[in-house]
Amino acid sequence: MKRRRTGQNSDSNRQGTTPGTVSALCVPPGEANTAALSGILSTLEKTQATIEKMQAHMSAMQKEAADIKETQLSIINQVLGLQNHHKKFHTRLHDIPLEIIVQIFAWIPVRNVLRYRRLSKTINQCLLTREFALLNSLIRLFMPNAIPAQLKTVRNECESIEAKGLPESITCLTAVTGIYLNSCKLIGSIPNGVGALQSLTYLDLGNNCLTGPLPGAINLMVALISLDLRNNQLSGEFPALPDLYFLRILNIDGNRFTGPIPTVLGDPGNLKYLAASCNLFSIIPATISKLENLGILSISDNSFACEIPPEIWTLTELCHLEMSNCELSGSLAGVGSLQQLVHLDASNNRFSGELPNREIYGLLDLKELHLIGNQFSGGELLYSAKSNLQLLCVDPGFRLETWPEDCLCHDQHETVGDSQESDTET
Amino acid sequence: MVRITSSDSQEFSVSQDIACQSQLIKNMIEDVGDADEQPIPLPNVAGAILQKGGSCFPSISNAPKLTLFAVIEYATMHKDDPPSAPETDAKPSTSEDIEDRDKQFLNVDQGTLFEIILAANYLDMKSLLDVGCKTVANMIKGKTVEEVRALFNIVNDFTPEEEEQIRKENEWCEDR
Repeated sequence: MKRRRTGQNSDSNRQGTTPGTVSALCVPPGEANTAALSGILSTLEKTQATIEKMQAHMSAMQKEAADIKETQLSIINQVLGLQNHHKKFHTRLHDIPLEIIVQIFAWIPVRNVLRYRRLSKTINQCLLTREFALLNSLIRLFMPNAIPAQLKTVRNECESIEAKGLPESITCLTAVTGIYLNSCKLIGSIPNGVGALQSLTYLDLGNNCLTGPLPGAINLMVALISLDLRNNQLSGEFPALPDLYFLRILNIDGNRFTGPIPTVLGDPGNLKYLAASCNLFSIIPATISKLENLGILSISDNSFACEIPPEIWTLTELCHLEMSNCELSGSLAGVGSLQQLVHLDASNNRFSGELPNREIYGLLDLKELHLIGNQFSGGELLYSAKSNLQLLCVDPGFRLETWPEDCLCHDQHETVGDSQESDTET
Repeated sequence: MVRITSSDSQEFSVSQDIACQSQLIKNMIEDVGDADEQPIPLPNVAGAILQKGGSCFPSISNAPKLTLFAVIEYATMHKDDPPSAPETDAKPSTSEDIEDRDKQFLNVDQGTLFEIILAANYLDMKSLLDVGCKTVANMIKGKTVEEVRALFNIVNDFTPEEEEQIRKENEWCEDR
């Protein structure tokens, strides 16, 4: 710019010098006139001043432009602010009942719906309800290709999915009240962190392939009402769970637990249902008497190889007692105290001695009695007209003249496997 | 005809087949019987959401709409629909399948939309509730948490630590 201006300048002056750059002008040719040269120099100075002036002007203009832009932005912000303000006159998302918020988020693809937990505490709560919890653990487990449109259908998707472990992260669902992952092809062990699930009331991990011991931290899940772990491959001793006051249902059928059957379940306990059949338990501890509310006890298909503890006859609420195929010995004397008893299966054990005829005679609610496959000394079994007994299975050594024939069953019970099922079928 | 009144005592007169799209009104009519000429009060549904200095009974295209008026419009639009098929899990639906006329109908400001959803919930109109929920879901879909907060004026009431904790738990579904 400077160069060109200087050039033009010298062009207009035409003082016999070569038109060109400032540097060219600064080296005067020999015959140059000094007066002319000083004239050119003063012109140059003037030009310089003009340029400086223009530059100052330009920067001022730029500043102004920036200012205008800023004002514009602030106006936009004000407008936006006004709009937001305007919205406050109306119903907002937070005014919507939680169950509708759940319905709204149910339409968001499962893959990323949980990112919205961060929105606010209320929405976090919504996304941690039972349905979303199920969803949450399922996506972590299985990452289904098909996105279920609504959560209700998620449960059925388990069947087609390959085996996955139960993630440690399931323990983050601390607000969840129920986890239902029955028949979901789960493998691996139950993470120790489950103790964090202190709101959980229902935990169903039945019919999976879970292995390893049951973590003692289960005792921290103080809200638990029902624990279903049936048909897994859990092993080791069953932990003491003295703090589960609310536990009413415990089903651990079909595992590989060893040692004593669980009896420390809340202190005092509320347990109504204990199913521990088809395991490797070897001891019935005397503490079983603490389960004083127990209505159903199923310990068939374990190898106790000991005498039946008399404490079992103190469980006066029992209406259903299954203990077939248990290698139990001793006598059944005391059974008469179980006045609520409807179903008693003591088949295929080593019970011996005289059958407590009179006590059994007094069990008026009894409908099914399975005593076959033992070593009782026989004798006469009296039939009571007041009795409700519909099915009696005993060894041929007994005299049963007074019994109606359609009550009697002489079939040998299976001694291995699903003896319970075949019992109920007969 | 059935007469219904909104919480702000505006009375609407609609034909029975339109009114009965609301399970609530239907049950009320069945309970009370036709003989009763009393208008049905709907204390939870505003006839109008009045804007600051707004007018009442604007035409349907003007905001704010009258909630009940709008709901009746929806019901009129759908009065000839076949009775809803029993829900089959086999046919998965997504939030994208909204009929064009419903899309247009719900193309309203947020406040009105939520008001309509609330009314649909109260009046027990499943199809309207569904379509409303879908519409809101579509507004949320694909947005970041921050964008959704801005969109719905949701106040972040987590401490930074709590938020970070949740972010960690859900790392696998963030940024996708």
